[in-house]
Amino acid sequence: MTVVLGFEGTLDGALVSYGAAAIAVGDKHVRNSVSGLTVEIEPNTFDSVTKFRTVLAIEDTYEKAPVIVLALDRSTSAIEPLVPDTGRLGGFVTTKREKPYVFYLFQDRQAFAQYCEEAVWSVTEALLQGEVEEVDILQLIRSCLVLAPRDPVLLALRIHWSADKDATRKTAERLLTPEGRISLRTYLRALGQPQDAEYLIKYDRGIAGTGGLDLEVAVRQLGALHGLHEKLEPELRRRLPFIGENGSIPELRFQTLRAASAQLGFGVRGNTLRERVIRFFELELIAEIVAGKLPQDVAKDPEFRQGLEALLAPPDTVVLHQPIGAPELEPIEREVLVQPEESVVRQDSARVLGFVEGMFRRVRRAELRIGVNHLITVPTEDDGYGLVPMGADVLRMGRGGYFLPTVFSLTRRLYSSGRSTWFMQRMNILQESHQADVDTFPSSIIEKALFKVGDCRVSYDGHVLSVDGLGEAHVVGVGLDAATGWLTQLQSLAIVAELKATASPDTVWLPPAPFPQATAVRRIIAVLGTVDHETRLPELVSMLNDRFSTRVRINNTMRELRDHKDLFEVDEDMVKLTDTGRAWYAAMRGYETADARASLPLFARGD
Amino acid sequence: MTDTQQLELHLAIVPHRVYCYLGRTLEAFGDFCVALRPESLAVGDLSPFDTGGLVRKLEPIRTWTREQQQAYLDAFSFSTLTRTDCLARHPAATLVGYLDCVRPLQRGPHELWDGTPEADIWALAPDHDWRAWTWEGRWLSLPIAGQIVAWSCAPSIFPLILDATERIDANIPSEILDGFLQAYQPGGVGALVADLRAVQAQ
Repeated sequence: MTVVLGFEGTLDGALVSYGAAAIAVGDKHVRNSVSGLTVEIEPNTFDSVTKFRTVLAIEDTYEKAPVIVLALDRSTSAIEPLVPDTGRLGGFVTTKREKPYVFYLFQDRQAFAQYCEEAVWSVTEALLQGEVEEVDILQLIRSCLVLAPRDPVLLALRIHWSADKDATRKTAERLLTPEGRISLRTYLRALGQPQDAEYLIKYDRGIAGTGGLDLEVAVRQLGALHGLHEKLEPELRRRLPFIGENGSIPELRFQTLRAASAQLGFGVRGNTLRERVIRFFELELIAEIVAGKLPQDVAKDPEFRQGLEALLAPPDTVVLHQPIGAPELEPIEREVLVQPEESVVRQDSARVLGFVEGMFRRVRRAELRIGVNHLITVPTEDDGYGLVPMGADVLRMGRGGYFLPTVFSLTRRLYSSGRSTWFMQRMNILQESHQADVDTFPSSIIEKALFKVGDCRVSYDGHVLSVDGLGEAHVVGVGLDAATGWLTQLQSLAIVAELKATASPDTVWLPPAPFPQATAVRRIIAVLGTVDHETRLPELVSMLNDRFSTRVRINNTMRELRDHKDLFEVDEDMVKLTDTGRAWYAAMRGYETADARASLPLFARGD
Repeated sequence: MTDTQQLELHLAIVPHRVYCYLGRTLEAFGDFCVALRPESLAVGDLSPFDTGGLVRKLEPIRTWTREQQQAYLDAFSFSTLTRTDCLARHPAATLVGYLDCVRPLQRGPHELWDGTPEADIWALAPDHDWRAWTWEGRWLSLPIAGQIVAWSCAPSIFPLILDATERIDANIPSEILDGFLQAYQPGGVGALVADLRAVQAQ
């Protein structure tokens, strides 16, 4: 028989520990089962060994095996979820009881690693189900961390229940690899969602007609979503192993219906944290799919694709979605889901100054901030022509690249359906003393529009960003706030260039797609622009209501006029566009003319 | 005076040193273990045996006079700058064997370094006494976190270390703490040694 004397590491009253078995080699030597190092037994040999009170004999087949001993203090019920299911675990050798501990022997590190993994799942399930007494929660997590110190879900649970979330989060991030940190953040988001968090899908035109959904259509869309839910179950079990092979997965929670807007809201609401977490992960998974990344096992499933097509590509319909936490609705990426009968109606290139704000690693897309209110996402592995964008390695490899002044070479494609996609061909992070050319700036007149002029040189000396013809912005500090600071400065300078650009026939106007709703100010400018730039106030109000089917009154309109003295001049009841106001009108016309889908007058659309 | 300090006094090793073994730990079992990146360390000394053993264990040297023992140590003390040359002689092509504590083919280091004192310390050592042929490193100062390749501790201790880093966070430069926690290898000392040995043997 092989004799086990104990295991490596002092226990010192801990509830949980483990280590390499100390195997007796004859009477005078002892071997570390994992390192294989054999030493003579001397007075201090067992200083760092937890010695059994009585030796344990195991079969000789384990004499040279890297046996691991797990110690669990069974006198407390707090660590019950950590108790191994010895009847089911592979690689389990034997147990030994020495109160208050029970020692479990595993034949090798792989068998032990399997136990640790399952222990994490068991603890996660117990915590999320609310089965652990409040006073025991942190002790249980702490004990499980002994087994799996870098498990992102465990670290997220520790942060979730910690009194000092900042400190525990900092430690967790330090322990993890970049991929682990992404996983940690996802779990933290899942754990921290309020009950009313929602994933929105909105239909525009097509099946949504003039507003709302026919009941039959609504039932079909919800049926399609239910079908997807069933297909996504295997992927969810993979992502959330604590669910297990037979654990229940809650159905998607249909939480709100804004019928008139054809907007469906799916929430995370649930009786337990488990339900909320699973629902959050499913909605994240759907958002990923909508963004173009399909789980492998369903990517070629015709039934799945059919359901997806029904949900996301109804005929002649613009579909928008808003993942949980996203600032606003955005058009879906659907080219990978279906081959819609749509064609590219316009393609524009743009070199624009901005910064990388975020990264969706799972779907390999980067978020680029190219205007104060203009965030776009681009693939990091496809430049629109099947190649990897130049300079994007820094993002793909997780080597930073965030919040730095960067010139992006981009292409935007507008499709006949009204959808648009952005691709990045190159990103050039401006280093100190670097220069680069840009030709496109964000609009301050139409949200998410851009205008393109001739080449402008951008220089950066590490502190100041200079754009020829525009001016300078100071770069103070690092991070998101600093980057937002210099971008805001530059955009406030760009309005001058935008108004000046109205006088140049070479200006290219890049309207947003879909076109946003006209604001009250833009409506007034639009009306004044068509009546030779001036009219009487009552007539202006009448024309506004007539043209836009609104019910504004003189008081509302007067307030807008007073709030924008740079755009409007009011003399008694005569209202005029100022020179700036006229330039705004010219720019608005520029965007309207450039809108490839201008089947309706710009200023009527969106009302 | 500690046991190590007594041996240093005996062998005229001044000032006191910090010791490590190349590729293994002193004890077979431990609560803590740190593996260092040799290139990042200050210059120190190397010897192809455990210096403490010269005084108490290694045959035939333990029976020599103190002056003879000191002379033997001097003859086999090499600058860490010559580490590559040292390893090219011992263990040379038998690195895997060295990492597994296999006894060298030579009777003693004198067979590999011309003109050095002869003593069959490798051949005369008992089977399990790998300290007779291990490389020992000696440095004047303690390493800092940035030089640590990997470290481990008894698993039950790790949560205490996490608690400590959270308490003292503000007093330690962030990059040092980042590197320190990133270098942690779960599993305890035996597992760390086994993993690093597997990497080096490749």
